[in-house]
Amino acid sequence: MEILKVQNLCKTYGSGESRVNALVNASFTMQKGEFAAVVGESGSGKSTLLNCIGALDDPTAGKVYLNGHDIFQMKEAERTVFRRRNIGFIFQSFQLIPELTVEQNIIFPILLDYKKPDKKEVEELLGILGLSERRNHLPSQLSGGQQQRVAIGRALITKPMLILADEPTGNLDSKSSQDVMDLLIKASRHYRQTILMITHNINLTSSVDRVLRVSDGVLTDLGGNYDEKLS
Amino acid sequence: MMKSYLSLIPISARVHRRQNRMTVLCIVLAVFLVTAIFSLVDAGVRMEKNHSVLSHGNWHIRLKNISEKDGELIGFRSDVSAVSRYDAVNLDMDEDYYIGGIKTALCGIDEGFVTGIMSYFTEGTMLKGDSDIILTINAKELLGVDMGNSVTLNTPAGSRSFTVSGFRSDDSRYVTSNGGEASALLVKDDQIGAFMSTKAFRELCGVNAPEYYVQFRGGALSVRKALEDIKEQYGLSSGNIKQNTIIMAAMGLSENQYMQTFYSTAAVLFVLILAAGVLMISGSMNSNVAQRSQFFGMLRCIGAGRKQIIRFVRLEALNWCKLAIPTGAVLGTVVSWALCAVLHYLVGGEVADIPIFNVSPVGIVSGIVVGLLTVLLAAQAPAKRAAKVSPVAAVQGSEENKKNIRRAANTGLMKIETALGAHHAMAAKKNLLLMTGSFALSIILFLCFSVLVELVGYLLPQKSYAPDLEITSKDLSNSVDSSLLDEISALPGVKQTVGRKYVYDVPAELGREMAESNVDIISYDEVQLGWLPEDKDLRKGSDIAKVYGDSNYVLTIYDKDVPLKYGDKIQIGTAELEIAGMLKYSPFSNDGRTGGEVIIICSEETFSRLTGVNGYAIIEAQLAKDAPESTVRSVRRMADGKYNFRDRRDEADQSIYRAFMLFVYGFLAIIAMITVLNIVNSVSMSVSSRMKQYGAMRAIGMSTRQLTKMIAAEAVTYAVSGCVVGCGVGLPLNKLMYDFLITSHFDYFTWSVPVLPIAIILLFVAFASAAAVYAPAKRIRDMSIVGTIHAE
Repeated sequence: MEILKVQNLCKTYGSGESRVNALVNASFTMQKGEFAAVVGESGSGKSTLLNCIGALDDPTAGKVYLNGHDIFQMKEAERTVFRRRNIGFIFQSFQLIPELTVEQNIIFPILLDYKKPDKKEVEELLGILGLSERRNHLPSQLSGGQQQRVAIGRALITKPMLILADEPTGNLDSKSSQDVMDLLIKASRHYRQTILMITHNINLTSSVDRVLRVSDGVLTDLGGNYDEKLS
Repeated sequence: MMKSYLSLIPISARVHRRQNRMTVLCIVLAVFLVTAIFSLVDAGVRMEKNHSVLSHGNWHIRLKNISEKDGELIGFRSDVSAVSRYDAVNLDMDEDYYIGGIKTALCGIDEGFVTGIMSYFTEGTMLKGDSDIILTINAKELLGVDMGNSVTLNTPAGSRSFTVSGFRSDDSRYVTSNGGEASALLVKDDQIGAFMSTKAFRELCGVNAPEYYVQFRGGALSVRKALEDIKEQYGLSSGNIKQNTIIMAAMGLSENQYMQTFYSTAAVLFVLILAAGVLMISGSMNSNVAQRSQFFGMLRCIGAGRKQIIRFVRLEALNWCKLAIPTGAVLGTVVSWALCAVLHYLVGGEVADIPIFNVSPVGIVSGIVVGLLTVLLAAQAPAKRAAKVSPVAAVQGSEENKKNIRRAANTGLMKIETALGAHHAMAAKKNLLLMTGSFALSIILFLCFSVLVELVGYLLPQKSYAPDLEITSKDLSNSVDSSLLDEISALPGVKQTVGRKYVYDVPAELGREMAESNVDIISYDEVQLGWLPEDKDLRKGSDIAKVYGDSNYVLTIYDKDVPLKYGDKIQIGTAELEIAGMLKYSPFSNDGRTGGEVIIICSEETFSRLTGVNGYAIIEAQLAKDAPESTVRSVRRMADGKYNFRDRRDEADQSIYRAFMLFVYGFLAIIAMITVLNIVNSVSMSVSSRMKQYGAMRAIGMSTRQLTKMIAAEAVTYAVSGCVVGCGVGLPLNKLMYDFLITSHFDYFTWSVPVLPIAIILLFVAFASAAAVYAPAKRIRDMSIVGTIHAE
């Protein structure tokens, strides 16, 4: 089942001589449960691609369909709610809310919808994340790896159609990086989550289904990993 | 080329112009506030002093009961610039002093009185020798004399010739027809006042009750010293010394109890304004520094010491002053000019003399001092805070916020955005304290100043009944013909005429015990009864409707020594009357007290039934603004010796009242403006410091509406806590000031909760909070999520 369809996505910054083509006609699709990695040099346009897919940034041209919905056809308020319910974000710098506990941070998107979180689900997720003991801690009381696990929990709680992870291991040591990767893989398997992850760490691509490369704004599908497929 | 690390300050200021703008604005406002208030007060004091010099003379103290020798010695002192003896006889015109057959009041003075102390003499007036005489200016008409003419003064001690050497003016700036400085010999139109040398006076009249008018040299300090010296040297007590209140008050030396109260009130208000300034600036500097913790961390990283950081922040604050203080001082001065111009041109009357383009050194210096002081005081905490920033903060990004958070937000009770907003406000205790403090101070200032509004109302009552012209019977009897009322009403420019009838000492039985006592009965016509509720002169529970027409209901005047209540019965002759209402205070005495006497006010119809009297004791007329002078002359002619006539137009002058109101409301407006800006500024700063977090929230799916609600919740939390503290402290202070300024002088006014000012300021705070949310909300709507998250 096709979850994401990106069509001729372009993003240009500036004009005249200072014009930069951050993204040039990027097109690809993702199936449900697929775990894809976007690799590329610093400044190649990876983050721009992710931001446009996540509707955090407006593309100059092109379309993004999520489960058949053209996200840039939506009005801003509608798009916000759509994003809240259907896209999970994981950032390099975690972006947790400092005044909320681990548990509150995880259920935050549900609270934004004025809904009551399912206690059992939260419990289960905390267990998977290994944060049951630390549910009442504040982000400032956690290590970087733990914080990123909270961010993953927050991205998973709404069971979104797509999770976008922007260098999720960029701020972490190798042990924590591996933990985070394990969790993402687990999410992909356990919940059949579709995940698009940016990384510049080629080693991490060994465990994903598919690798895309961005170079000077041009996207190339490198296809499945050379070794094996996860799912 | 950078010469030292401190050269970074102006460079950094250029880069952070937007961030610094609010802090600079705060300093400008604090300086502006102080400069404007002090310049206005200075202009007002100068105006009052000039008025006082013109109408009451340029002297500092008046000495009584001192020996001739002491008086002479005081005159020789180097710190005394003028001194004159003053002695008078026949002020009541009951002794036989005449010039040309016209009754004359006499006084003896020294030359300094004419040349240095009093301004009420016409130009060219001199008192050189013992044969010189100065006459009130009506003598020109009465006697047909002019300067240089000779007049003969007949006294019980014999006659003596004098040469007229000048006149006492009757210019209303110095002396009005109804009053003014008592020393000016306030004689009636058909009498004369004469000033002569002390020597001539004593030869004719002996020594009566001489006083010494003393004018000192120099400023407040030397006057204070001279005064203390004189007291000590000649063993004088305050019984011997009478101060010229306004002139001494303008120098801050008055011993007048009212002025002392005024000084302490001014001091309290000054401290409050200073505190508001410190809170405002330090709040703004705190967030400014907090936002740049990464920058300070970076400085520490590359080797700056803590002391250097402290110095950096302090100098940076002073660098802002470079622009902010002159701007505030200029703005304050210009606003004070504008207010003075309003007083001068729009209010007019007595305040028309206020100087417009008055550059007040007091105002400017206090503005500068307050500016520097508040900035240095306010920079103290942020400077230390900046110095504490760890170098790691620079490397790891500005995560200062996280470290301060010790407790999680309670998301169980409220919606998530409301809970977070309230938590943002309450989590940082110091910030909450500063914000609550500045909100509360604005409210406290407002509540304090609102007492002044009431005070002005009581000091200068603007009553519907204030008459312009008054005709009274000569012997307080009801002998003024009632037809006169209609005649006056018919004159052009007469707006309203009212009459009152009086009967004194009527035997009556009063109250529950029906104690026997004498009462005074006064009639009010319908117009006057109508004015009572209009002027809010009735005590709560009064039912004036019952009093109209021929009825058995009357009003009485409240006095703490009179034990009467509503519904009490009064038996007068065969009539049984019931008290339907009470006046708050007596309009017939200066202090508002009845002195324990029972005064009954009833309608004209009831009055006639009770007493059978038809004539009036007093008729009063109110004139339209453009009433012709001929109307006044006609009314004066109607009185024509049969009745007493009084022109009270000057007393009804509303200019002073309006000027005071303008001052007080001007201050209130400035305070209100500062409240708004403070609130707007604080909320804006708070939002700026959390922008990155808001970006992340937007990314996760928080809508701009929810974000706006979150900021609103934060603003409301500040406002509510500010209101609670502000009212909690402001109300007792309001009561204290009320008791101190009003009840202690007018004991019939008692404090009640100032509902209207509270409602106004609360509404205002609500409005300001709403305004404060608007701009940041717009900024958030327009923000780029990606740009905000990745911003350093």
